[in-house]
Amino acid sequence: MAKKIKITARMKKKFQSEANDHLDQFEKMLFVLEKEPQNLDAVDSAFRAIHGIKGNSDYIGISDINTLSHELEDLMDEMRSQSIPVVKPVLTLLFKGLDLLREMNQQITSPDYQEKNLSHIHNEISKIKTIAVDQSPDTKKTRRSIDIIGVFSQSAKQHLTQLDDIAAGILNNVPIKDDKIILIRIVKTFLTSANYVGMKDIASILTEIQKKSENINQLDQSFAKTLQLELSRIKEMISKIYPKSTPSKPVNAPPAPADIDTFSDLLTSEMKIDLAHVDRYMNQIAELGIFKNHLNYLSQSIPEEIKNHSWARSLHDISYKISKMTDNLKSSVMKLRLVKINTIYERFPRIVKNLCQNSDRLVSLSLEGKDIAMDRKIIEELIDPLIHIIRNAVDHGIEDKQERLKKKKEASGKISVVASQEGNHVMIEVTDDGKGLDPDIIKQNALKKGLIQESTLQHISDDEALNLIFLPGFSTTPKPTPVSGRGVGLDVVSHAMKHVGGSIAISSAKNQYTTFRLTLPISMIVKDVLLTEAGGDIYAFPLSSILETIQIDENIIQRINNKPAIAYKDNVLPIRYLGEILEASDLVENASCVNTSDSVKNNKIPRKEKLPVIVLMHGSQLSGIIVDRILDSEGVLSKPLSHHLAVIPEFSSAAVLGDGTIVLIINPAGIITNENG
Amino acid sequence: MKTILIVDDSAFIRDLHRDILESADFQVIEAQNGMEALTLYDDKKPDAVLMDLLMPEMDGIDVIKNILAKDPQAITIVCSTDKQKYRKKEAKEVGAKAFISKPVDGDELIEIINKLLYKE
Repeated sequence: MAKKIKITARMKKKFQSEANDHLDQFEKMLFVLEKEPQNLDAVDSAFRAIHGIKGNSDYIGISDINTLSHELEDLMDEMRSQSIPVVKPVLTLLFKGLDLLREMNQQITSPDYQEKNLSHIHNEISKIKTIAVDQSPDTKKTRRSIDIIGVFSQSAKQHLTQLDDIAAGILNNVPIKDDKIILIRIVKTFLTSANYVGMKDIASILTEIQKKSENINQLDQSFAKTLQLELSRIKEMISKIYPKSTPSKPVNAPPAPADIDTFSDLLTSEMKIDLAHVDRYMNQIAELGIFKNHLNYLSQSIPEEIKNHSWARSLHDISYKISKMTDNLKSSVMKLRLVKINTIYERFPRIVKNLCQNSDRLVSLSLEGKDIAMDRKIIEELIDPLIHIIRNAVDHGIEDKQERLKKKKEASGKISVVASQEGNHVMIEVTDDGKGLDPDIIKQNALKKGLIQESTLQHISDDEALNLIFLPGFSTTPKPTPVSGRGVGLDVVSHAMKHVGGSIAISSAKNQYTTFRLTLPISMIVKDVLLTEAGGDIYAFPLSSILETIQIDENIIQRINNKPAIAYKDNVLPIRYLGEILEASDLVENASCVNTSDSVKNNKIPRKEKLPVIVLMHGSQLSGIIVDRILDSEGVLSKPLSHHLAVIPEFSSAAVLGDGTIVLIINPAGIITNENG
Repeated sequence: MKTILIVDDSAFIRDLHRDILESADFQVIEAQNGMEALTLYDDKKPDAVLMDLLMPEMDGIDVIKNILAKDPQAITIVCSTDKQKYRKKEAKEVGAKAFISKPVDGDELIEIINKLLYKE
C-alpha cells in the first residue's frame, strides 16, 4: 500500500528553505524591473521563481500560501505575455505579495500557524487583472456573440469608407455637396452601433468628431486632415478586435502590449509629469518674476504729475495683481516639487527585514510623520543618509536576541523614525534602543586612527566625543549591500546634510539608546542668482532684484551730494563698489579693482576697461553696485543663515554651489538702505 | 528491486517523490536538471524516469527525446504542473508513456509505475 503524502515537519522545513531561495530571487528580479521595466529576462526569471513556490505549495496543504502564490503566478504570467505592463503600481503590488509570502513562509514551521486574511491583496490583484483583460482585445471581447461583432465590423468598414471619401473630397478641393450634413449623419449612426457593441474607445473618437463638426460652419482642410488621422486610428482598433475583418493581419498576432500610460492612469488618480516639464515651468515662472519686478518698479516710480491720473492708477492696480498672481504661481509650482517623506519610509520595512534575516535579531520599526513633505531635491538627498543610519542601527545598534534578554530588554529591538515640522525646519529623529555609543571607545578609536590629538581628547566632553564619529575615516568599511548605497561612514551623511543646508546631531546613552537627529530647512528653494566676484570673494545677487547689468567707463562716475553716482536712464543712479560696502576693503588697494572714492581721482589705481555694474532694485529704489567680475547665473539651493549671521542686513541667506563653495546671497534691501544710513 | 530516476529542479519535490517511491520499495536516484538526468540515465540505467517539464536550461520534453533516442524502450513518465492539453499531447507524441499532473497523488503514481513496469 502506498504511503499517503504526509506533511511532516521535515517537509515544511525543506519547503521553507526552498521557498526562501525563490523569494530572494523574486525580490532580486523585482529590483531589476524597477530600474529596467523592459527587461523580459527578469520578468521570466521572476515568473519562474513564483512558479517554483506555487508548485511546491500545492503539496504543503496551507491554503493561504497556495492561493497567494497561484494569484501572483497568474499576474506574472500576464506580465510575461505583456498583457500587463511593468509599471510602478503593479511592481508595488508584487512587492506586497512578496512581503506577505515571506511572512507566511517564516511561520510555516511553527506549530500554530495562523492563516492570513488575503482579501485585501486579492482585491488589488483582481483589479489589475480585469484591467488587463480589457486591454488585451482577443480574450473577453471575442467571447461576445461573434455575430454582433461581425455585423459591427462590416458596417464599420462601410462608414469608414464613406467618411474617407468626404475627407478626400475636401483635401482635393472637390468637396462633396452637403458634406457636413452627411458626415454628421454617418458619424451618428456609427456612434450608435459602436456604443451598442461596447467599443468605448471608438465611440469616444466618434463623439469628438461629431462635436468638432458641429462647431464649425464648413468642413475645411484642417478638419479633413485630422479626420483622416482619426479614421486610421479607428481602423486600427477594429483590426485588432476582430482580426478576420482585415485579412492582412494574421489571426494569431499577439495582443499589442498594453498601453502603459493609460494603464497607469487607470490604477492611480495621479498624473505622470516629466520632471523636465516642471523645471521648465519653474524657469519660466522665474523669468516672469523678473518682469513682474520690473513692472512693479515702473508702477512705483510713476512721476508725481500723473500719479493720480486714472491711467496711472489702473497701471498700479494691475501690476499689483500681476505681482500677487505670479507669487501664487510660483508657490503652486513649488508645491509640485513637494514629495511626502512617506516615499522614503516605504523602503525601510524591507531593508530592516533583509538585514535581520540572516541574523539572530528581531527589530520592530515604527514610522511617524509620513505626511511631512519636502522639496524633492531634499528628499533625494535624504534617502542614502537615512538608509545608512537605519542600517547602522540594525547592524551595530540593536543587539542579538540573547544579549538583549540578558540585559533585561525586550527580545525585539525597536527602531523609530519620527518626522516633525517646527517652523521653518523639518526634524527627523531616528532612535534605536540598542547598545548605544560609548564615548570612551569612540575617543580611543579616533585616537587610533589619528583623527584627533591626545591633548584635544582630554578637553572634549562626552557629548562632543560622540560627534567624532562623523569624521572622515572614522568607521570601517561596511559590507556593501544593494540597498545602502556607496556611503562609507557617517561623514558622508554629515556632508550630505550640510549640502542641503541642514545639520545632524547625535545623542546616546550606553546600553540604552542612540538617537540621530537630522534638521533640514523646509524653504529649500532653488533661487536664481547671479554670481559675482568682489574683493576676492564670490557673492550672489538674487536675479529677481536685478534690473539689469551694465558696463560703464569709470570716467562717467561723478560725485553728486558727495556720493558717487552716474547718469542712468534720465535718473541719477548711486553707485558703489561691493568690496567697499562689505568692507572687504583691505584688499581694495591691492586688487586691480576700482575704489570709487579718492583713489580714482588720485590715479593711484590703474584704470581698468569697463566696470561691471549691477543695477539693483528694491521697491522703487535703484542702486548701482560695482563688482570685479560678473560670473554665471545659477539656480542654487539657498539656506537660511544661523542667527548670528542673520543680523547682518546686507545678506539674506547662503547657498552651496555645485562645486561645494559656499556663497553669501546679497539682500538688496540691506544694501540699498545701507547707503542711505 | 526496480530503480526510478527522479528529475526535478525542486529539491522539495524530489524529496517528496522519493518518500512516496521508497515507501513502495523502489530504489530512487535523483537528478536536478536535464544534463544530470542524461548522465545518470546512461550510468545507472534506471527502470523508469519521472520527469518534470518546466526546468531552467533544458525542458523535460527535450530530455525525454534524448533518452528515447538512445534507448527507445525507455519508460518515461511526465510529471508536471502544466495541465494544458497541448502539453499532454506533446508528451505523448514525443514518446512518454504517461502524464501525471502535480500535485501528485501518491497512490496514483505508484499504480501508474507498477502498470508500466510490469506490463512486460
